[in-house]
Amino acid sequence: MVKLIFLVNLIGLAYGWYYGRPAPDLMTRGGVWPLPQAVTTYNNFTHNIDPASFQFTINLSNCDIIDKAFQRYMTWMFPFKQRYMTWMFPFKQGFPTGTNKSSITLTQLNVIVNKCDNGYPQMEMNEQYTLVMDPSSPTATLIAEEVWGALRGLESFSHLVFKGANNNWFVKTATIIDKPRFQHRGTMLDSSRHFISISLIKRNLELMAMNKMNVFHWHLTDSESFPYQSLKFPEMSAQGAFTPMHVYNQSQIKDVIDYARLLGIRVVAEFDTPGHMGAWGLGRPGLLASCYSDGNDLGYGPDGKTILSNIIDPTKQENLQFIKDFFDEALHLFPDNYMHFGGDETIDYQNSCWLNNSDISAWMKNNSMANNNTQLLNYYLTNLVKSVQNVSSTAKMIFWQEVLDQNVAPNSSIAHVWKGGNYNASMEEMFNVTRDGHLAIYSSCWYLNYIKYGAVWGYDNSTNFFRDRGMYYECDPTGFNGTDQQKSLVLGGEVCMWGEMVDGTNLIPRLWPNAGAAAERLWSDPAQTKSANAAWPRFHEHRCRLLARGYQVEPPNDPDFCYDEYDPVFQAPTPPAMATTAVPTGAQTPPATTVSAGAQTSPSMNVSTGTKTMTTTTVPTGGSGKIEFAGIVLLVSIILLLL
Amino acid sequence: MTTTNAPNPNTTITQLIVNVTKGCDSGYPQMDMDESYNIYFNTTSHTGYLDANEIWGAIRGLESFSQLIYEDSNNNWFVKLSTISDQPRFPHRGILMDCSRHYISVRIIKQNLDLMAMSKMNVFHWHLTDSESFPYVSAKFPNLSAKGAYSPKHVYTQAQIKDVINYARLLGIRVVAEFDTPGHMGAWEHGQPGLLAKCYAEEGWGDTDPMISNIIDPTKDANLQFISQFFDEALHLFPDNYMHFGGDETIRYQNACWLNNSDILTWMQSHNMSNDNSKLLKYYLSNLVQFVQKSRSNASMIFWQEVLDQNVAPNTSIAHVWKGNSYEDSMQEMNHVTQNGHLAIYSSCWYLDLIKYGVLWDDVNETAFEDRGMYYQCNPTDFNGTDAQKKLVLGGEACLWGEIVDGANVIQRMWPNAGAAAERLWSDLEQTRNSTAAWPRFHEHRCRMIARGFLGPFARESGSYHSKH
Repeated sequence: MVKLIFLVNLIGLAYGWYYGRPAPDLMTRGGVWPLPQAVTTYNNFTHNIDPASFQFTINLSNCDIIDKAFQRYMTWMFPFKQRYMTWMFPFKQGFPTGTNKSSITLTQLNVIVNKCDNGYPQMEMNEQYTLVMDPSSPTATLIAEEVWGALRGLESFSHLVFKGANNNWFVKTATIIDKPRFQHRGTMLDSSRHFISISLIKRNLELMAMNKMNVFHWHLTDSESFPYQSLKFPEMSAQGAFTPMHVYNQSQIKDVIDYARLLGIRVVAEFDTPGHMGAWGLGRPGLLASCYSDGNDLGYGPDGKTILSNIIDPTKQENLQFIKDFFDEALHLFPDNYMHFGGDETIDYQNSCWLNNSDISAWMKNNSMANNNTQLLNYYLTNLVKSVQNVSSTAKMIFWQEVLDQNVAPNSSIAHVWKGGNYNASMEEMFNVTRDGHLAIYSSCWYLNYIKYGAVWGYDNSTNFFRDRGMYYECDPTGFNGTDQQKSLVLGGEVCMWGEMVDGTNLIPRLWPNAGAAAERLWSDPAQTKSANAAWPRFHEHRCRLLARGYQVEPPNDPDFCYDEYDPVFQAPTPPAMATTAVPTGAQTPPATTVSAGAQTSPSMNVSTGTKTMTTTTVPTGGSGKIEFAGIVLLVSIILLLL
Repeated sequence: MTTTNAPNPNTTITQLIVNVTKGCDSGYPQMDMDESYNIYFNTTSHTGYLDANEIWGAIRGLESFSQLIYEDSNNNWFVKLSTISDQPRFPHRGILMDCSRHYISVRIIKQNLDLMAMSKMNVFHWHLTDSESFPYVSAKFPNLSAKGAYSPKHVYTQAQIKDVINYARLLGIRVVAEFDTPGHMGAWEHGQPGLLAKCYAEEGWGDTDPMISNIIDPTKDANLQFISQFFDEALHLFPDNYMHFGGDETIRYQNACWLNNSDILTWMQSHNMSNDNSKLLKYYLSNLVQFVQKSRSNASMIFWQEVLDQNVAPNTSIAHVWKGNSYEDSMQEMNHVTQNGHLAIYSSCWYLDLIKYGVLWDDVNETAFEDRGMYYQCNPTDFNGTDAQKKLVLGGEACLWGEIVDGANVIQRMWPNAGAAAERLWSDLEQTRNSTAAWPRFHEHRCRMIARGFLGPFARESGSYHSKH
């Protein structure tokens, strides 16, 4: 029953708890995640900090990003300050040993930002900040060139705050000079395979900010559904979404973009073409190429033979025009200078839907492509690039890596590397794309949808293959043998959560805190973050911090605990008040006895004469309160229409 | 068995008349509870009928009735007119939750009980203690949790436990507690120093130095006396006639902590056990059985399967089968324990903690359980045994061990997949062989759980950051 884990020896003798696991309470106090580039602490000297009197100041007025951040961090730093008195037990986690308690109470953090930014964060944003604390001063200072750096600095400052015994709060005194290692630190959500609500997308954005991630890669469409609502082409989501409820309208998308902006997060939309377009065909008949099996492919249709198309028919002029109009709208909706254009996994469909399609192969021959469907792919991509550049000369294009091999993308395009069955193979991929001069984003190691048993964030090196491998902390986007020039082309990486097995019910715990391991790899100095063992106490505190802030983040590392466990108040829909009535058998109009829902009160029972049989008429509880029970409120019967 | 009558869109069902033959039951559900029920409708009188012998059957019938109801897009509600005659295939249909490796709050335990009732599961197997922590608060021995729990917040008081038991009763669910001995006891030692045997690591079992014990020292009378008093209290706290006494995975510790321990070895030799530590194991188990029978003569004992090989358990004891690295192996285990005449509960296939990528309830057909899903296909009686052997199979349990599970993900990891095991344990095998046929119904069931407010993320109060599902 206890599954003894192979990696026992990795963490074995260092801690000495059961099965060599880290002690269950091993955690830092006031540790910053991800680790800043340079931290000076003052002999673990801590100030007091009082949630009631602590203040932020800012040298600018009317800077919404900062003003909103101040509100947010008062909550995130002191997540339970209103709730102490309701606890069954007083907080027992004592003051950390080896820490010197200061007599000083930190009363304010003064934030100094060179300029406010009314726009959206972009790839070039400056996230550098300096946090200065003095062991003898009741004030601290956070200095940043741009608001984006101030946001990162506020997050770090909030990590220095921790709770001690007797509901007292402390802040570790530290001076931090910090900036990210990589500019692009992302999380990809797939809202096509399963729908994810706006509120959950926002929760995820908050968690990203808490891990200093700055790119929300939104995989909006795919073969399974089309939740993106286009104004020009409303039929795309009307026909292609799972239901009219499973849709993101443009105001919701703008809401997400604006919310992300406040957190310093870019929203990079992906509309995957020319493959993975199955759901586009529903609202746009004729857009996709019809497919024909050549006997080798499996056939994905409902009959097991028909191949449902998921690739565009680029030979039709109206389809290219549609793509142009579609992206024209999208490029104006999303303010980020980068957009993700997909382009992955087209080869099977190029064969069965282009080459085996007689209309298309005839067109190819007429256009001097013979039967080379790579040329048709290039034709499509070239048109796509032209359409994008026509709309926006500043727009930069990200593609899944295979597109970059086609030599049609502009020079500034980015290769998103997802291939490689194992770590070494994925590093080969990174080597190749950078050798070819492409900018690169790395994801191969961080497909968090591939769940497996164990402490996957930092361990679980059980097999070579990514599907069974954890080790998220160890993966390094520049872990290949390349020139410095090649490595400077690496922009960062993304954690990907593909949606096959994930929806709103399990997205957050499946992604967090494990994605935080990648976040540290992407932010921090690799030389200071080599060891998962060394990182664990800080990661453990961070997970507990996220829990305490109210997020449903799973335990990443075998048996342990947080002082504030996940214990939500269950919010089932409120049932209508229930009437329970006892009637003699056969009675048509039972007298009503009303009891409150869920009460254990036994209704008085009428036992009919001459028999031991009791009958009780109960009203089954309905769903939410919106139901009208045919005008009868709190009455004996629920009205159910028979089918 | 269900038959669906012809649709009658013009009729409204205005009442469900529940008829329970044996009257109300103010006690707790037990292994022999009668869960059978019938549902039928009379459209002329606009009435549905639910007949059951016992309230436990009525509860199952209400769940079925509720599942006949659905809503259309205009918020109109319908009930599928069906005649149902139903009873469980197995009397023991359980969920194991491990509250020692990680703590799980009472609120979340109750959520899980609600979800169990929705899938007609009737046993909450509560793995309350282990080597990692001791959250159970004993009134007689408060130090066990005071020192052995992760923190004073990470405990279950007796009032909370009674609350869970009473909540489960209302759902027709038995609470079967497990206090695992003589192994998996590491966390007991903190509050009861001297209880465990000191260990001396053997080759190939490199733990820490000194090796941390997780097995009792049964050579001390004080320890046996403690066990007697501990279980006396527990047997009176938990009203179920069955209790789970663990007994798994002791062999390595028998060697390292008994055989390699010179005090214990000397004691064994002076008690004619020479160096046969299985005799010491039997000695402990015989004492345990005696204590239990003295405290509560009607208590039946469940053990993890290896205990039953020791031939010390009473005849009515149940072997909880968890071994077998593959489905075929596990069926050999079932064959073996029932061959030996033991009652059996099956779990090997349903270790939901061993996660893997894919459609686990019906797919991922690898050999080793570590990589295998196929929960729907596993069948506790799928071994080549006699009818008499198969009658000994009481059912099964889905187990969610707690190494990488706590309140933050336990519900999502358990459900709806445990519902696949629930159907296997309740339903007629012949009607439920095909997972493809089951999927649309399973899909509706999962959506029903969500619509009822379960499986969703619920943000704790933290400022204004509330999650909506």
